[in-house]
Amino acid sequence: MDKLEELFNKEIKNLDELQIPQDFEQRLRNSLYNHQRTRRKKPRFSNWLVASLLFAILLSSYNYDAIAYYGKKLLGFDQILSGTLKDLNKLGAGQEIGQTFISKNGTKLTLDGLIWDKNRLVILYTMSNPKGEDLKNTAFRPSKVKGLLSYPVSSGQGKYNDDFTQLKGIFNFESPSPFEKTLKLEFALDEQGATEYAVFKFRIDKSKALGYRIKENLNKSFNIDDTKVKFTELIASPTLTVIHGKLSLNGAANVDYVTSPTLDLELWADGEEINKEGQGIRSSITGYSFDVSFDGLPRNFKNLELRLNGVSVCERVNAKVPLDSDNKGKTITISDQEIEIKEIVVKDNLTELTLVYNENVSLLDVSLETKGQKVSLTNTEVVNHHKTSDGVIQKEMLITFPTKITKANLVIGNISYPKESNLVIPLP
Amino acid sequence: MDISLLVHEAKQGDKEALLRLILLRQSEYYKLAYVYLKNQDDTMDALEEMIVILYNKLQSLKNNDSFYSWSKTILVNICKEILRKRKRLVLIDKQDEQTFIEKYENKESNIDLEQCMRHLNEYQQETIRLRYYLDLDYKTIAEVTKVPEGTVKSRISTGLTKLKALLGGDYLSG
Repeated sequence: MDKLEELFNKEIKNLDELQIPQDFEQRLRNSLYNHQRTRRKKPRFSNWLVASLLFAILLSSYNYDAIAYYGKKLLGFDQILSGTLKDLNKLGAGQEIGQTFISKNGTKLTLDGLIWDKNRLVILYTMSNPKGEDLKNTAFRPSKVKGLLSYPVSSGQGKYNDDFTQLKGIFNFESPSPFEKTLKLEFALDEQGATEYAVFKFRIDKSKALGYRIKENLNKSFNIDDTKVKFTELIASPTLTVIHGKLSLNGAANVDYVTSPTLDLELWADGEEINKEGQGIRSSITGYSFDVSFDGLPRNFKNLELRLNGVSVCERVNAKVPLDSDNKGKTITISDQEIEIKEIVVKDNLTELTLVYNENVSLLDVSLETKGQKVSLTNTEVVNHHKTSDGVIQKEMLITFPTKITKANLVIGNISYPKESNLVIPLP
Repeated sequence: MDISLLVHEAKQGDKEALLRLILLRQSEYYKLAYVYLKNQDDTMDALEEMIVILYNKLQSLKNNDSFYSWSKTILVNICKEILRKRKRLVLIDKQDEQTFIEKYENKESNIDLEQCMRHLNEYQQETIRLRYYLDLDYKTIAEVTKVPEGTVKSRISTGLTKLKALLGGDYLSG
């Protein structure tokens, strides 16, 4: 074997021995489900809106215990369900389905039941192979649940038993309209290199569905420096609590936008924190609107409070930073935020400036002042993100100006950064 | 496994089908990105970006059976973009490049080979890696790097000649 071949073989061996990270599938799944931009269809159910409003009015009593839970407790799913979903199942909030599909290979797929919540439809299933073969290469792929309308799958998780001969799991779907009575679950089952397609048909019972429990207008506004945070409402279903609100960064006039403002919100009930499930911030003409989701509220509680740990504020600073070879590599401080001037590259008719600063800081209205003139930037882009030794995530930004400079000042008009706050807001 | 059905479903919007397509060949995707990016974090970033782009661009795939080479081409483009951005960072300090390249744990380091590879131009390096580290055939390499097969072969042969010369003495001809 010649030396080159030997070296290539070494490389091949190194690559073969590479460990694919454990969370490969989860990371790809999260990326796929959370980042899609095109394809999201807005729910078109206008009569759904009317129905749900009526529903909400009917069920807006605070009395949790008044809603009795009919239905069956679905056995064996303790390890897969979490939080309030688990508790609710224990209380018997599920509806049984009990239908089985047997594939050509003998694999048994059973829809055990469902939990119908205002925010989602949870389908619980068990897959097993009576021949005792392992199920690692078998996949159950539901695509959607269909009734009068279609409800796509939003996420799923499952757990194998020790020898991979049984898989119990759940899939979450968009919550069906309250008008639905019968649903069809369309799915594919992959195994041994072949795919079978089939449909489960089952009834859903609106009387056993979990409706809104509490919907409350909050209407509380707070100011942190010049940022105004307004909590508009709280909507709690048995498995999910959502706080809606609006955010405006008023620190500087004419703020174009801060890419993603920080909002660090926690929900505490009776001294214990409720798990945060997710958060979304959207920008609109008047500022931003946000919704923060938490796990369902506990059955009985006395005190409920929101804790605002931090929010982005915007400040007009108009800071002038001389750009010359002395400053390259140095770190400047504006409003207690450190900004490193990593690199200044001057080309024939443009200048590229690389700055490094914390991930949730934004610099706005940035320009160059050279020879008495103001030059606006033409492009900003994120080069990369990295973690410092303290675990802080920083980003590296490349800012391009369409001019060649010999001596100039960098003018930073506004800076936005997260400010800590210790605001505790009790909710009635 | 008949992938064209899975691709068809994915085109209809079935995300699980797309995931399944990727997972069926996960180690191929992982190694491909790793060969370009040389560390786990960037590789996973590239794959996360790839799956989103694939989902959004699936409609433009005409031949469902070409899914794998089509998606790998997209992956390679993403990796090259990441490398381009990395290069800008590394403008000043050549030493910084080391921070991107993971030290192989428990692996014998292949310094000799890497040092010799640096003498080749980037196309020759890329083509040789795809052919000899990942064992891809000429047709796939041509698709993924977007050049004709003839160019792939000539890059490989020129590259190999240089490598052999650099390594000196003991090699069998051919």
